[in-house]
Order: sequence, then C-alpha cells, then structure tokens
Amino acid sequence: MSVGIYSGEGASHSWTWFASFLEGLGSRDYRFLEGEDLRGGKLDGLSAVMIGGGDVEGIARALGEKGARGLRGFVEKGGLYLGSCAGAYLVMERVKLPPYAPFRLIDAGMANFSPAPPPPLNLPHKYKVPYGRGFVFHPAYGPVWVEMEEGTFLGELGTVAAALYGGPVIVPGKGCESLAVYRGMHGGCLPMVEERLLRRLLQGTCAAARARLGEGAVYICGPHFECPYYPQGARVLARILQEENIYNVKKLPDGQPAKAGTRKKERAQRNPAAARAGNGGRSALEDARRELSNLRIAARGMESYEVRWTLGTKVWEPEKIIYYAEFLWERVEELQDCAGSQGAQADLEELASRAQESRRALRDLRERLERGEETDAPAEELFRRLRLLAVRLLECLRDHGGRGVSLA
Amino acid sequence: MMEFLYNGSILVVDLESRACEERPFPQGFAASALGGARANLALLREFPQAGLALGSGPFTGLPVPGACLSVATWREGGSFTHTPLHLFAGVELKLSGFDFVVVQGSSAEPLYLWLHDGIADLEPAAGLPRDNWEAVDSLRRELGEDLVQVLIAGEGPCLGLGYWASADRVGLGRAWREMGLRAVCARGLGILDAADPEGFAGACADLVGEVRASLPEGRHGLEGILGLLRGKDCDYPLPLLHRRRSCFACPYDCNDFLKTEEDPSLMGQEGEEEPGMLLTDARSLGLLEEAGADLREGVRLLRWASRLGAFPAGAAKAGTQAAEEELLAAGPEGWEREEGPFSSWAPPLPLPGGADRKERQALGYTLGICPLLMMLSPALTPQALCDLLEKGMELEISPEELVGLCVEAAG
Repeated sequence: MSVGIYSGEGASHSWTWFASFLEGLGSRDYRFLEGEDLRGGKLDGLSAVMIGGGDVEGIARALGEKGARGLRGFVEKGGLYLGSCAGAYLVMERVKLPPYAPFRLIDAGMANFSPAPPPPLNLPHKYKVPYGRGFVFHPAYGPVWVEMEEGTFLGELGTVAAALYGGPVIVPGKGCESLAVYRGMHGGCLPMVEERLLRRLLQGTCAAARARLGEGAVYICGPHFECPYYPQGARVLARILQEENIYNVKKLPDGQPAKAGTRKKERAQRNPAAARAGNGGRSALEDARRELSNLRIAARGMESYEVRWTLGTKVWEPEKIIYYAEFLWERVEELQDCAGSQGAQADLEELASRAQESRRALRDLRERLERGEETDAPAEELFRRLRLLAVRLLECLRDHGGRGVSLA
Repeated sequence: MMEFLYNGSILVVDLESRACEERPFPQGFAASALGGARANLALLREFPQAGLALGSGPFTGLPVPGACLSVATWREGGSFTHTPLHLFAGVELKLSGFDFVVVQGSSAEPLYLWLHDGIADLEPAAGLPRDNWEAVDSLRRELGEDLVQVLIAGEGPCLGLGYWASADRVGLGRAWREMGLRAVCARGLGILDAADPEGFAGACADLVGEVRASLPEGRHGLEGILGLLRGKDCDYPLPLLHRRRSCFACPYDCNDFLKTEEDPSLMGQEGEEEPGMLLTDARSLGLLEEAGADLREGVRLLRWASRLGAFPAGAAKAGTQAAEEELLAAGPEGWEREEGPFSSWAPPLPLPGGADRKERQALGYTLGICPLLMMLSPALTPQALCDLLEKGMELEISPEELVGLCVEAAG
C-alpha cells in the first residue's frame, strides 16, 4: 500500500517535503495525486493521503465536490488523511464557506480568523487571506515550538521545533482530540502580530488534532512537521504512521539535521547500474544530468530579482524556483541507479526534455521581467512545469530505482 | 579515491571531434604534480597534441589568502607560457567540477566550452557578437546566470575575463580564436574538502591575519602598486575612483573601478548601462599617466580596448586618439619580462627581505595563489604553505622540496 501525496493544482512546493520525509524513512512508496485522481476516486492501493501547503482555495476547487466525497469515502473505509497547513484548513468542518463546504472531515475550526486583523509587524504580503467577511491571518512565520500532549501517543516525543508557514491555530471540537499545542516562537521565527495577541494564539493552543472517521483517521497539523529544515518534525509524522499501522519500522528518525559540509561523494567506480544501461541509457542519463544542471544554474540567476507573484492566495518568490531546481539536483546522482532498468531510457529522455522546457520557461520569465512586462502568467506556467518535472523525477526514481522500504 | 582540495577530475577536450572526456586523477597525481603551472606542464607532456591547459592549484577556491588563481598554460612551438586567471574566473573553473582542462585540436566552426556541475559541453559560438562585452552578455543570457565566468577570445589578441582585461600578455585571445575556441564559461556550485577541515580553516584564518599585517601600510589599489614601484605614493590622481575590488579571497584590493559616465562619489547606480571600467592592470594606468592622458578619456580607451580584446597596456601606449586597427595591432607592453614563462602582467615589485621573484611567482602559479600577492606579502612563506598542504591534503613536504618542485615549472 502506498502513500498518496497531493501535488496537483494549488499545491505549493511543500508537497516535496512529504516525499523527502518518506525518503528519510527509506521509502519511495508514494504516488503523486492530481485533482483528477481525487475527483475520479483513484485512491485504490493507497493507505494514506497527504495534503500539505499551498493555496487552499485552489486545492478545494481542483478537488471539487467529487474529490471531497472521494476523500471522505477513502477515510471511512480505513484510509488515513493527513493535512498540514492548507491541507488542514481544507478539511475543518467549521471552515464551511464555498468551496470548502464539501470537505468537512474533522470537527475543528481556526482561531486565527478576524473580521479586521491588526496591521502586520512583518511580511505584509504573507500575513492574511480573505475568508468570508474577514481574514485568516497568521500570528507568526517560521519555526515554532510544539509540545506533544501528554497522555497521547505522541506525548513521548516531548517538544519539537516545526515550521509554521501560514497554518491554522486549531480549535478542536467534540470528537476531535488535541495531540499537540503551540509553545511560542523558536529562534528565527518572525512575529506578525504584537506580543499579547501572539501569546494568545501561540501559547497552549492546538497545533495538531485527530479524529476518527469511519474505519479511518483524519489528522490535521498547523505546522509542517514534514519540513526537512526542522527534522524533529519527522519523528512526529513517523509516529503517526506507526500509530495508524502504516509504518512498522521499530526506530523513529533521529530528528537530527542531515550532516552539513561535504556532500562530495568518494570518487566511485562507474556505477554498475549505469554501466549496464547501454549507450542509449547512458546518453539519456547524461542528457538528464546536463539539463537539470542547466536549470539549476539558471534558477540561481533569479536570486537577485526582487519580485513576487500572487497565484491564487499563495505568494511565490524566486527562491521557490531555486528550491525546485536544487531539490531536483540533489537527486541527480540517484538517477544513475535507474539508468540500467528497463524502460528507464524513455523516462530519462522525458526528464531531460522537461528540464529543458522548464529552462526555456524560466528564460521567458526572466526576459519579461527585464522588459518590465507582466509576469504572473509565465510564472504560473513555470511553477507548473517545475512541479511536473519534480513529480516525474521522483516517479522515475521509484519505478527504476526501487520503492525502498515497503510501507504496510 | 577521495581527493582533498580538488575534485579529482581532469577534462580532455578535443575541439575537432567535439568530444569531452572526463578522467579521474591518476594515483598520486596531486602529490607529485601539485597543481597550477606545474601540473599543466605534466598534462601537456602527457597530451603532446594539446596546446592549452587550464589548471587550478590545490588552494584555488579555498579560503587561503589570494587563492583565486587558475593558470592557462599555452604551448607554442617548444616553449610554454603561464597566464594567471584571477578575479573569480579561476575559482569558478575549479568549482565547476574540473580541476584541469586540456584542450587539443581545432574547430573550423567557433565553439564555446561550458563547464558546470562536472559537466562539459561544447556549444556553437558562431552567433556570438563580435564585441566582447556583448558576447559575454549573450552567453550569460543564454546560460541564465550573471555569475557565469566567461573567458572570452575576441577579435584582438588579449583574452578577456568577462568584461575586464585578463593578465594575458602572450595573445591567448588570438590563439584561442584560431583554434576555434571563442569562450570558456564556468559556473561553480561545487564543494571542496580538506583532510582536516577544522585545522585547515583555522590555519587559513591565522594566515589571513598575518598576510594583512604584512601588506605595505596605507597602500591600496593599482595606485598603491604604482607607488610601491616608484618608491613613493602614487601622484597619479584618481578622481574617477568609485571603488576597489579584490579577487577571490585576497586581502589586497588591487582592481580599481573608475566611473567615467556617472558621478563616482555616488555609490548607487544612476542608470548608465556602462558607467565605467574595472582596471586590472597597473601598467596601463602608469602608461596613461606617463603620457599625460586625460584620465576619463584614458579609461574610456581601456574600456574600448577590453571590448575589442586589445592588450590594455598596448592600448594605453597607442594613446586616446588611436584608431581601432591600431588598438588591435598593439603589443602587450607588459612590464619588462624576466627570463621565464610567467606572464608579464605582474609588476616588478621590490620584494621584502631580498626574496627571489622567480621563486615567489612559481609558488603562486603552482599552488593557486595570485603572484601579485605572493610578491606583496612575505607572510606567505613556504613553511606556511607546507602547513596548509599538510592540513589540506595530507601532503607532507618540506619548504625546500616545495620550492624546488614549484620552481621546476619556471623552467
């Protein structure tokens, strides 16, 4: 049984963090979901569906009523739903205005709503989103302390740092169990509201909650426990998967950051898998590497541009382009393991082609910026291409490099 | 096998067949060849058909003071010349994943070599503009990054480092064009490892302090170099000076950016696309001064020379009224050159403590340290460099052995 990760319309780049989280468990047992997969009820073979950050309205519209029904049916039959940030807002029963009404999977609401929030202290462009007759606003942006509730199965994990990038302050209803509470800002977190309101919203309030639905379970999290920048969160997610009998490994992730410093590998012998690839496979591999490197370097070229794009309700910046390019590049060496596998050549050729098209889209975007033209549409197109490229690369690794540890 | 201070990679480029082949270091290569000029010579002996080797030193790209250098070694007939590639070009070359690049053959169609993430591509260059600056812009637009370092061979004899004049005084620019090599582009996002990372970093930090303290007091920029040569403060006024710029990891800021089209006292940009010129050569500044040239016109001349690929000192000698043909035909007009293969770009500075110039240059050209800093700072002793080699790459070598090996490259 695989884990479904929503990477479709409305998703921000944070869906890749779920993939990284699973990779950290030694698993590539994932399947990437578009809105049409949920609308079409194509959730067979999945044990869990994870929806992370993004434009919650965009996600809701992409899934639609059919997707909402499909999701409910999936959970009722025993599946696990895990939503963080936008994925949490999406399924709260008390978030009930269109287009969210069909998605009410858990009796919860949000405390970070106001008809007239105070002016922001920082990051005005990320501070609030219209909702109904008011705004969902964000008290802080960055790492926060989250304490697991004693007496729950997460209690043994104590307090962890996790990334809050617009997720909810949860108000759990009846039949909904609070699993973790906020315990204030971690170093590097930016306050968006004054001290008193910050304390009211981020001290002792609910950060994660769970409810049973039929045979399955719904988990919602305000912070991104899946974010690799704060690796202690991976222990929380792994424990949840363990609790729901999806992940049966005895040892949780250690919660330590990946070793900084050298990423240079020993100069290895030519990878045997690549050597078995034949000329066509090796050529396709080299093309894929080349184009992913070209994309990476061109992405770095966006670093100095002070520009933002608001796509739906989500703000995107050049650093997200760089993020995607680096995410892809970090996995390039693993493509060597795939090169000798049957069917890999075509997939590698596709990756090279997609990377080249993404670079063209990036160049188009940059040229328009230089000319002072409108760039929302080309930016949206670029991020769509990068998203699809990342999905295809991860699928290629899964299909040709092995699924790794099997999840239950 | 893991290499320290290096990627462990030699690239062999054949312009005729358009093939690029990466080879790992042979066993013991770094320890015996060391790097830079010395290693380039070893590679050119191994590849007798090759005319060009671009080589980094063990310290290139590391936080060793002045460690900006890669070296272009050119074979012409039976003799060799070594040209420093400074500013940031030498570092990007190494961090692109290739420590050494050997180039052989020639191409009827102009090509450019693109080095990135351990990948080497030969791409058509026929469509690049004639003007060096426009060609650099075109390449950076194509590759998507303004930080891509470009070694550009223009119409003139002098190789360019991006927009600026290189230390080429033998006509690499012309030679590359004749080979069909219009440019070498590099972007380095790689990482280099030291055998003892903490020990190496600590030794580098200590050495930076010592080098800073050893530099001639109160001297800055090219005007400081000229002052040292004349035994006094430079009396050539630089009212157009906007800022000085160091090469990678160098505590001496020897490059002067002069603004000719905007107010140099204003730090921000005022909208001029080409507000001035980075001068990288003390000789050309000195020649302009000796000729009594108007500074603004002189710097404009040097900018034009850079766009053409003319030798900067040759252009300065030709004068502000020179026509394009004169600039292109002008010779290098380097400092009086000693016997030996090193570029005449580095000025004949008085060396403290009677140090040997050939020895100082040879150390710099082999280890990847700017030869100018090697002459300015007595703190870069063979002993200090041996200490860094031990901590950096577990190479145990005495100062005498090190000097001997390096001086071999001087012929």
